Amino acid sequence: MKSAPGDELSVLRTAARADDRDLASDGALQEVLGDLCGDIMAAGRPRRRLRLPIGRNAVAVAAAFGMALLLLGGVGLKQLQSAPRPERPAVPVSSGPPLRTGDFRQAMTVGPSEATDTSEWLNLGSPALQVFMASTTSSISLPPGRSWAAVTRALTLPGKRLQATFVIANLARYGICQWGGYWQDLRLRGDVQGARAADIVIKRLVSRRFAPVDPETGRAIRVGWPPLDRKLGESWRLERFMRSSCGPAWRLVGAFR
Amino acid sequence: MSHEQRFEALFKQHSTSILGYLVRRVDAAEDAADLMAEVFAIAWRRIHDAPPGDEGRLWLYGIARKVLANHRRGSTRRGRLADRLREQLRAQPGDDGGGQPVRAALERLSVADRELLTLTAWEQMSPGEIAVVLGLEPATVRTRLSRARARLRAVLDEHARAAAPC
Repeated sequence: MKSAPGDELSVLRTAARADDRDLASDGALQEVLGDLCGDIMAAGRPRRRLRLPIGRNAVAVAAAFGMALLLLGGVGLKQLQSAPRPERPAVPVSSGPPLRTGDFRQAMTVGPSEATDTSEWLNLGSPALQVFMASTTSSISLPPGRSWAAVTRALTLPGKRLQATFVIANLARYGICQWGGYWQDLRLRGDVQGARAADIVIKRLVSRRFAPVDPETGRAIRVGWPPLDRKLGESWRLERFMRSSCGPAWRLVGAFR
Repeated sequence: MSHEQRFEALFKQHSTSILGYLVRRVDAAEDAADLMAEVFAIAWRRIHDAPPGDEGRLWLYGIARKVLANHRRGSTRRGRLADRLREQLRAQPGDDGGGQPVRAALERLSVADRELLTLTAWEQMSPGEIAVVLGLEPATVRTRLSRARARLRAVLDEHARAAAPC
C-alpha cells in the first residue's frame, strides 16, 4: 500500500533516536550540562574583534568602490560622480529607539498587497534608519537630477516597523522607477545607447544582492531577496512595472506594523 | 547584557535542543559529547557575532551543523571538557531498534535531502528557520523539501513493498 503524503514526516519523527523532552527531564544530564557551560567559559575567552590597520582598510574601501563601479555599468559609472551625495542622518544615531528590534517573526496576518518574510523588523522611527538607508543607497547611483529623498522620507514613520527585506525592497523599487523613467525618456529621444546603458543599470539593480549593515553595531543585517521580477530588464516587463508601480502608482510595499 | 550573560542565556535556553540535534545524528550517543563542547566553545569564542532574539538559536544550529560535518570527516578531537558529558550520555537508554528501518531508508537519500527532512521532522523547524540555518532562501527550502519528502515517500513505499508477504 502506498503511504499518503504527509505520512513520511510522521514516520521519520518516530525514528528519532532521542527526544529533547527526555534529555530536558534528565536531572543528572542537566547538571553536567550546567557545569559544561562554566567549563567552556573558563577554558577560553571570546575572540576580540580585529580592526584592520589603516593601510588595509584603504585597500578594502578601494576594492569595494571598484566592485561598485563594475556592478553599476556604463551609465552608473558616469553618474557616480554627478549623483547627489546620500542624505546625511537628520539626527544623531544615539538618540531615539534602536533600529533593530530582535523580532524576526513572520506576520501572521497580512493585508492586501502586503508581504512578509523572516527578516528582522526594523524601527522606522529610529534615527539610525537614516544612516542605514543612506549607506544602502550610497553605492547606487540615480539618473541626473534625481535623489532618494522621496523614498527615505516616506519610509521614516515613527512608531511603525517594517521588515529589513522590505526596507531594501522599497529602496530598490524606487531606484528602478527612477532609472525606468530615465530609460523611457532616452528611448523617446531616440538615444539608443543611453537607453541601453540605463537598461544595464536596471538589470544590475534587480539582481543585486544587498548586504546592509546596522550602523549602530556595524553588524550585518540579514535580508532576503527583495520581491522583484528578476526579468525586469526585458522591455515589456519594465514597461508593465512602470505602469503598475511607478509615478502616480508608486507606493511602499511590505507589511507595516 | 554582558558577553557572559548572553552566552549563559544562549546555553541555558538551547543546550538541550542542540545536544538532542547532535545525539540524533551520531552513531553512538556519547560521540555527541565532544561535538557539544565544540559547538559551545565556538559560540563562546564568537559571542560577539551572536544575533539577537530567536536568530541566536538558529545561529547555534548553524554552528552545530558545521561541527557535525567536521565530525563526519573525522576531524573532531576528544577533549577533557566533554569527559563527564560523555559518561552521562553513555548511560542514556539505547536505541531499541524500532526506528532502524526508517533510518536505513533515510540513509538512501542524499545528505541535502536528509538534512532538510530531519530538521523538519526532528527539530520541528519551519522552512523559514531552515533557510536561516542553511543560508538558503525560504522558497528554495520549500521546493527542495517538497522534493525530498516525495523521495523519502518513494523509498519508504519501496521498503514496505519489500517487507510485505507475497
